[in-house]
Amino acid sequence: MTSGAPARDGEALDLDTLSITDTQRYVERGYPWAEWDLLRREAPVYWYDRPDVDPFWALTRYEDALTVSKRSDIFISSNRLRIFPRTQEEFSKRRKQELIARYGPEKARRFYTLSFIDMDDPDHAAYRNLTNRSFTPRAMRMIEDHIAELAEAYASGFAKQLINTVAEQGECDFVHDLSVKLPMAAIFEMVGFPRDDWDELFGIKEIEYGSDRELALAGLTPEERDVERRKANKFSTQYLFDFVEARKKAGAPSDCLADVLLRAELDGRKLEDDEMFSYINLLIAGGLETTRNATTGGVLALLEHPEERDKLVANPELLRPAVEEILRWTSPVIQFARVATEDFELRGHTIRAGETVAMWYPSTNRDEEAWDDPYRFDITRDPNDHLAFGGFGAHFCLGANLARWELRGIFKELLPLLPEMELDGPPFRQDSLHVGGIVKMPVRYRPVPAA
Amino acid sequence: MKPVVDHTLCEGHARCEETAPQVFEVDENDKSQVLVEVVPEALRDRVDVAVRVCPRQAISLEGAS
Repeated sequence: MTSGAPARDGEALDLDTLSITDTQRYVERGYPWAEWDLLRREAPVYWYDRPDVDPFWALTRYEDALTVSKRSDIFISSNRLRIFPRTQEEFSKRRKQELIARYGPEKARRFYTLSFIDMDDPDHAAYRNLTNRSFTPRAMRMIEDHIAELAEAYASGFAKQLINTVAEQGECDFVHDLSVKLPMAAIFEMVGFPRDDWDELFGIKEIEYGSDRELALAGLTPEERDVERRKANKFSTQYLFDFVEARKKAGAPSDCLADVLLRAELDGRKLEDDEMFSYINLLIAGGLETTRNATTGGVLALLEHPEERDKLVANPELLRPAVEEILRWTSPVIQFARVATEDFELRGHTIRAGETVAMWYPSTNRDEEAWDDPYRFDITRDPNDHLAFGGFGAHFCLGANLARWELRGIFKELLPLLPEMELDGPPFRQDSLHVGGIVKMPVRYRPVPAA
Repeated sequence: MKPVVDHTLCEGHARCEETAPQVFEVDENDKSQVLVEVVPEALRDRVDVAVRVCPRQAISLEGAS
């Protein structure tokens, strides 16, 4: 099975029993394309009620994701924003109750609803608008030389690593040795973390945001994973605290996001420290796994489609549409959910107030009604109004332009390497229902056949 | 038909400008400005696309038939 094609292994699927929420399935076989195909075809607005999750309406069509995203007045984010396996939801609920017991409801609320992604307008907009001008195409053009310089440095480091795989001298994991770096570096630079700290932070963030599967693949036992993650969290919290203090002492004079937030006023007041921390953490978290997976998945798609790879290598001006196709093809964000605040009619179904809808973005990006030949990877596809950054509306990905600039930067640097690279074994897939993709992708140097 | 951009929503993603540069231009404050009083018939399709793909759904059409 390739990275973006439906499973055609003769397995009979049944609407009543199919699963799109079994993380083990994502690990073993990747995204459930065949299941989504069936849902789109037979039940695009489907009440998904299974033992492993709290029930929700599964939305798999492009148009329906647009409808819900547009109506953020009715479909709110502050109640249930993602579908998680029930075990994980119960863990979060328990944690929430513990926080309330410990800090009281008012203060505890800050721990779990401080990020604007979990808010609704007008609060969401008020917080978002504090930094949104740092993420516009205009802002990106001002820092694109930095991004290009970082991309070049990481790609050349990776190239050396790749060459070392010749004659089995070394191993090369595309994720760890390349994909993870630029997304971290770019947001660290924007936030204002000093470059001297980056190398240490890279290691910490890989553990902090690394899934259980990644840490297991790195050889850690369940107990070690717990310990390492707790250590990483502790380090990160202290680092951020010290960093913000240092920016305050310096008088927050620069254009870095930390300073922008320190100078910002919200209804005539400054942000509290814990609001600052949550805000910065959201900006960091939002761009790491997503862009990393678009990078890895994009390279995998190009390796699996050598004719598209060759076309891109020969025509670097196709980078821009190629990156859009990579975003559509990989769709790193699997789903976001909303909760209806009033009854809403959708394709003849009534979504009742209080019920959850979940938008399955990879499925919307393969919707036959929205795309010509959706399972064809075509780097010249135009138009390409994919929903990899979510539906259009209030919560459209704030970092979309940053991600685009990063991806154009890194793929530009990767172009000369692509013909010299091949898989060195099957990729290892992520065990998340929220941000999917590849946690490890062994690659090796491939001598280019003489012309 | 005249497009109207809600500047409380517009975030300067510039998709409208890419789609219909004769009609929209993002200014130095990252807000899309409408350049025309009336959208020429030949550009209506482009403007419809701009409305549809605006990442923040900030564009509406006044007097749309």
